[in-house]
Amino acid sequence: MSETIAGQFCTRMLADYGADVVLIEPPSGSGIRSQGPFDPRQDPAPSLLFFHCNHGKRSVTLDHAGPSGHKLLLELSRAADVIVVGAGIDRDALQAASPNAVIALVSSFGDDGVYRDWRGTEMVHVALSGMMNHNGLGEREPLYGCGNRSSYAAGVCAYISVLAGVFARKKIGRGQKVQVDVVETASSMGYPYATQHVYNGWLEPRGERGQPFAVLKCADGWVAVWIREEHWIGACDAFGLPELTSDPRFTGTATRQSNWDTLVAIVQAQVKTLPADELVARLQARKVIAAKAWQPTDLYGACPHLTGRGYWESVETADGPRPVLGPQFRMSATPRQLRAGPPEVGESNAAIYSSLGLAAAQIDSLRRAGVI
Amino acid sequence: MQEELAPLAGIRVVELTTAWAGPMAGRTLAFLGAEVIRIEPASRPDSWRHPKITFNHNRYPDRDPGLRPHNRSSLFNTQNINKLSMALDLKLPGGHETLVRLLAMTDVVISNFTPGTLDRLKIGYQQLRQLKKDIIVLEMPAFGNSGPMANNPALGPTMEMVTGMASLIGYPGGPPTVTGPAYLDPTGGYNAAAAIMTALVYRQASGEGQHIELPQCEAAMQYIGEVILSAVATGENPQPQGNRVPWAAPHDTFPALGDDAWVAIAVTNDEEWRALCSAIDMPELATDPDYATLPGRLRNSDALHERIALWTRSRDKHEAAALLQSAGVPAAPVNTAKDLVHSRYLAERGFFTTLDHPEAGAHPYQGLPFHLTVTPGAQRRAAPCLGADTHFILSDILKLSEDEIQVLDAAGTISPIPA
Repeated sequence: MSETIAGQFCTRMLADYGADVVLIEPPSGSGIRSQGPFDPRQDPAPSLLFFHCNHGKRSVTLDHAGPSGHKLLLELSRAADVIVVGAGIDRDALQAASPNAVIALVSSFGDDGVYRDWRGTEMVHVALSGMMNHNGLGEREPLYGCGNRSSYAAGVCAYISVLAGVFARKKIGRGQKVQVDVVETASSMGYPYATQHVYNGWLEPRGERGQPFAVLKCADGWVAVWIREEHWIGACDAFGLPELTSDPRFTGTATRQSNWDTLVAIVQAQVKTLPADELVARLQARKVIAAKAWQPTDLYGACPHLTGRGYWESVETADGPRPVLGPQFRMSATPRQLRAGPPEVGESNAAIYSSLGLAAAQIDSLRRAGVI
Repeated sequence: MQEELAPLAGIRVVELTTAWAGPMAGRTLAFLGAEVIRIEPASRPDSWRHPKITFNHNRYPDRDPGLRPHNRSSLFNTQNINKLSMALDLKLPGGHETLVRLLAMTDVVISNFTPGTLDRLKIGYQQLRQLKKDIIVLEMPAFGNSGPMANNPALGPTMEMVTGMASLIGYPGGPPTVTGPAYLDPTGGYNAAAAIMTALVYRQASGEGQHIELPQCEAAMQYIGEVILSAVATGENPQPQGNRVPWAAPHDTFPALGDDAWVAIAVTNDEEWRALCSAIDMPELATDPDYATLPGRLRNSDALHERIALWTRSRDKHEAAALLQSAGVPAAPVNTAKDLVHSRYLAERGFFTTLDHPEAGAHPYQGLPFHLTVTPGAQRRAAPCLGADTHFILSDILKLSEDEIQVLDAAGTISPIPA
């Protein structure tokens, strides 16, 4: 019963790896259904965010604010091994109804603590986490990133926590409550600048990483390259600049690093007319770590690597087949299961509420009362 | 907290990893109570120990690399909390046999070698399952174990390029930008830990182990799944506009009081817009038709930015964000590493734990976001010095005699001194 990307992604992972996941939505549908991006080719345009976070689940509707709704929620909880909720739900009541369930609060900041009333968005999460401060150039504003990555990361951490709780049931004989915050998750993913700071007071400035990394503009795109000491000669060869290997400004890691901007300017002038793929191939052939900056559309269709790996899959939806990203991990004994597209709002109401012992007439009257 | 109560107490993990992603996976399992053993050949120690490259003194306590910099690196010491270190060179006499003996008593193996390396070392999944039927082996190659790019070397920043993420980040017209500085590494670490938890739960129920391939780029693509699906649907790729986005405005960072101090403001609807106008004491903006709706705010975003910056420039970033949030406007200070150390929110979560490291001293270390109420994880023990636990593992786990250990020592196989 999660209304966050993190919570819904956590349970999608559970569905991927075999759980029967039921999304409990308000009667008007999950709020994620009205968050973009949308597929403009259909009318009404479906949310691709909702699709991505919810394929393979079933759906029931429930307004659990009133007494009959709350009673139904406890009934549903009794049948559950795992219950994922957002902030503001009485988790003790759920645990009392379902002592063996792992009950996970997955939210931006949790529902206690200094930020309990704050509103979270991706930029808010990464700004608080310390990560944003290190993206971009020192003389410009810091950059937040893209998409909703901190929420997905928290979804993965919630999945880890939930499975740790499921695993521990054998030892302790019952379920327990677990909690994952998006902001704490994002904070845990920062480069160890906080440790550097407590080690010696140093604060790493944005944009000056002291790393042998460059992003080069080629004729048709951008190429990132990382030049380790053992790859220096090969890199110069790949750039077509063998004379650099004997240039005293670039001899040895430390000297090269202190003249890094000069080096990048020389290389940039040399490679600007090369196709990006050709530069990457030249570098990779010499074991230099390099990659083209792919656009999202490069990942689909003609991509030889992902096609060669059978990456893309698809599911049937009401609008026809729709592509699904390949599995996060490939497991030899328990591969990802792709059962169906995302559910329609409340499509399993009859099946699930009747399994709780409700008669068709009772389900009907709950629907008329707006409870489901 | 009792260690044996942790969820993964009794699970043994062997890590054949380096740098960040692989160690972060093992660190997650170690936090949750597993016994995690790092195999570290002294001839080729973990690259995050920085055994040779000590030019960046900012990595060390008091900016002093000391006599053994490989035991004082902030990078290694952050990602290897709770683990044991076994110095073992597989290429020297007895090294390979010793590792195989250990693996036969191991529940989970984590490897971030390039594809095919485990098989070449004769410790691939098919070989190991002969020794231990229910073993779980996870490999985490950047691009997977198959396909034309399988053998391409990669690092966090180049992986971020391949996932499509970097092209979505940047200043208008500028180069694709990677996230600070290797976001794909912790991403891969968490994805790997999630895969292993899946296998452990299955093993608990079925008694069966398995092989896991974690293609780090493919796993990370899930984190921008809706952006990729949208590009696939429309055939168009979003163009980065700094912090501005087409679906919300204002959505940007604004200069605050002080040097390089910023406050992020993300107004996602008209209600939050009106709340912002009133919070920054510019009620006339709320009724200005140029800004009343999203299309207007997007069209006039430069002028709008200046108006809001007038308010933020004279304010502390923490106070400005708190004031905006209390008015119902999503906002945040852009925190520095120092802000994290002093964060009340993180303190309430118990995020930092002070650990005493034998060669680096006592310092607080950043934590992990897992909170289990009955079987909690914890950061209990500072990262190990290179080879700190070799003798314990050889004698107490592998039950080697002192004579056998002496033979390995004489051959240099278990040397704790980087070559």
